[in-house]
Amino acid sequence: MTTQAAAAPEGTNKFDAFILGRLNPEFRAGSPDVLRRAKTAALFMVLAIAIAYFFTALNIKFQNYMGAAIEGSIATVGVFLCWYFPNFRSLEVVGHIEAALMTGALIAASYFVGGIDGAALRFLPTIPMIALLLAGPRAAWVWLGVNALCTLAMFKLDEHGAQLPESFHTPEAMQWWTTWKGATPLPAPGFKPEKWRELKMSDTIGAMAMALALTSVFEALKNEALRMVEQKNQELAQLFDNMRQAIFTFGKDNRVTGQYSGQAKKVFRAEELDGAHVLDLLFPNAPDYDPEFMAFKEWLNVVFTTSPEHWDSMAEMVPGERVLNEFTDDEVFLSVEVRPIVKSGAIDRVMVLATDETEKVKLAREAAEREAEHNKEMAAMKKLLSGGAQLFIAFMQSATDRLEAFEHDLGAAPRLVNAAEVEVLFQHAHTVKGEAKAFELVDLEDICHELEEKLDDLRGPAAEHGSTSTEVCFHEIADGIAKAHGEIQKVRQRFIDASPLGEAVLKQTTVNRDDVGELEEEVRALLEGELDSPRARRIQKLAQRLASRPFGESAGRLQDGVPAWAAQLEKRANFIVDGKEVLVPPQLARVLSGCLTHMVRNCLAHGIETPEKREALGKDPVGMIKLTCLPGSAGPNILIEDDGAGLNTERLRAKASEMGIDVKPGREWELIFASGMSTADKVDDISGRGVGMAAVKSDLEGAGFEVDVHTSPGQGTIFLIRHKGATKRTIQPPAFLSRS
Amino acid sequence: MAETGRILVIDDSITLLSKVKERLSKDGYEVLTTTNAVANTALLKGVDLCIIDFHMPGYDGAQVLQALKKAAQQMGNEALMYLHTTDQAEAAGYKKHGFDGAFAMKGNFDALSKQVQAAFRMIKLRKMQKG
Repeated sequence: MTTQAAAAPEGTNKFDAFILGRLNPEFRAGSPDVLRRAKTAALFMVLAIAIAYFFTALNIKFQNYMGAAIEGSIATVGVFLCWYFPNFRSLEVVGHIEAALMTGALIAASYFVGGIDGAALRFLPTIPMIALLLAGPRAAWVWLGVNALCTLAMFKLDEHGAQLPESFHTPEAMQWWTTWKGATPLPAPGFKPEKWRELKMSDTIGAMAMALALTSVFEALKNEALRMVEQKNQELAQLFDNMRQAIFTFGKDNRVTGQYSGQAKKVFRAEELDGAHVLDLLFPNAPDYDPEFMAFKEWLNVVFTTSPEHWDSMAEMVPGERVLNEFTDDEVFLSVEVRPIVKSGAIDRVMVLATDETEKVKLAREAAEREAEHNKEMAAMKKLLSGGAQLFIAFMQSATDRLEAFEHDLGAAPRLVNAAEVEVLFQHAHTVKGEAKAFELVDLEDICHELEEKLDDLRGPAAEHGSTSTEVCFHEIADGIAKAHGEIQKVRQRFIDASPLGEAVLKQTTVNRDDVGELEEEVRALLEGELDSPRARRIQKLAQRLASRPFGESAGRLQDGVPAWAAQLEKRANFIVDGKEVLVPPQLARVLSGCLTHMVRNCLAHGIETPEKREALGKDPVGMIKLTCLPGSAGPNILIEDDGAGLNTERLRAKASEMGIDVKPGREWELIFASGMSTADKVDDISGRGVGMAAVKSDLEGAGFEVDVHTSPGQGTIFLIRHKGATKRTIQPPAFLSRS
Repeated sequence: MAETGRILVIDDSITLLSKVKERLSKDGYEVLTTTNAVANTALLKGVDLCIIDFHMPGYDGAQVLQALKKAAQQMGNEALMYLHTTDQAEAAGYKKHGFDGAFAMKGNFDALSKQVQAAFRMIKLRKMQKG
């Protein structure tokens, strides 16, 4: 119950400063006209008390003024409660106190005019009136009703010539008034009817005055309420703005009403939204046959007749997305949601929340376009590869050479060039452009076309004056040549990515296999004869290299197969190939593709778990199978790795026992290469017959290679294919297998 | 979320019918197609939406529509009849021909998908209004 003094604004007089100082700072900040209202209340209070006590002091119609003094005192207490008790410092309470105070003052005046008998009747409803006013503005009207009934009762009394009840004339009361003030307190029974008319008149005037006063008070309260609503609206608008959504509400006339966010003005390109039709906002320029426009119009016809309980089904029928200014450069993509604002159990307004997704949609579109473009380019590269990569490789080299010549002929700095030199420069750009067009390299073609345009501008002046300076376009041409170089690098990389041989594709040339085979035979024969010398051995190695095939050639065909086989098993797996360019000797190359196919399918069938199981184990739902080919002195080392379940050694042992095969502890994996061995529960076209891995081992051994296995339960399996003569090393699990 | 509803598409182009069917079936609708609606009015049974090409060789679009409406009425079917066209001006005059609406971007299947969704929203709303 402490008073929180507040500093008065500069220039405030002492009285104002006193009142402001009594008020809670929060309250003062929330009510700009609080000073005026507080002063009005104080004035009424002082007047009421002064009038009442003045007449009381004169001892004229003592009882009337005593009543007024009591009322005024109650009001005073109310005001002080309001000022000094923090819990009373709400605008509503102040308003009620003001109402009570003014009413009390007017009652005092009414008593003065009306006389003693009026006071007796009027005093009865006054106390509940104060209580009612404190309870709420609506209650004030209840009091007015009670007051009117009292007045009517007086009329009735008048009509019937009745007298005041005897209960008002108790001996104790009479005695008290007489002793204390020496006045005659109440009229004797049977007083004159004229007195009633006097009462009636004065009471009616008093009631009218009170009604006017209360109207004024209620008006002030209404204004205060409106101001508070406005303040809340501003807070709401700020909140909306912070949400970065276009938010507005519309009523039954389908027009925007109430607050809307700043973002709404931006999104709908409008200075003001108030009163705008929701169809104009969400469907600007839409023809009336637009099905979405028609459906939303129909929705508007129904929405306000729908019960709030059925809102969900109504909300589903609003288009979740809207495109404003569709097919123009100013397209705006909105995601739209609607919410009901319910009043008295019915939908009163609808709130629209529209999020501007333009940037997101444009980025997604660009990404999709880029992907489509990339796919198109890759397809074009694959076409080139299948149609003869040599021509394209030659083009890349010649285009690079020509661009270097172009750079050289242009010079390091702007200079004078004659017409012939301009033609040479032009020819460089023109040739690269023509070749780019032949290979459908649109970006490179565009760059060269721009270079042509620039050089074309030099042709005229050079022809006319014999020479011209390249200064006007030197930097643009130099930049263009750099861009063309960059484009060729990009194309080169795409070409390598599209090739199953990787970078090796750039070094390949087309030779006749029979010729290579014949060469190899001849060299071997020479070595078996007398020409065994270091040089002859080098020739043999060269012949073997010529006959070798890049690893990517064997592994590449699995690239499309793995996802399809995985899907068949309701699994998911990424497939990675490293070392595409490492050469595989011809004898291994002949069997490797089939061996890899068997082994990879085996990894999928037995190693990689289902996505659900992998997730349950804390693994990535998408498994991984990786082929790596590393060059070695005795031949390539090929790793086939998966991050699946690892070999089930218990099951292998059990199966071996069934088949009567002995197995050394720690070498259970050898069983998977045993003929007829399969731990698969069912036979399908991917696994289960137990012949594949045995055949793999046999084929590899036929080519002079062997296979070793490292398995780690729950982490995966690695198969290593190496030459029989290679140094035996323990297989080190790669990082991806040991990460868990 | 897959859509539900039965659609009858009437066009003289089998290619277009096939493309429309492929797209709208992917959206979840049951799609019936015909190049001869007049002879196949029985297809209207249980149909919610008819998508009609107004310019079919050998047929008067208005007569086709009237025949379909009559058949639908006899079946007690209140299917919406939508004009399918590339011509914006023709689409704007859909009411004049007696259509309930128009899909004015013929050949753009993404747009058609959205437009059909909107038409089905309208169908649902009308059903709701009828209680």
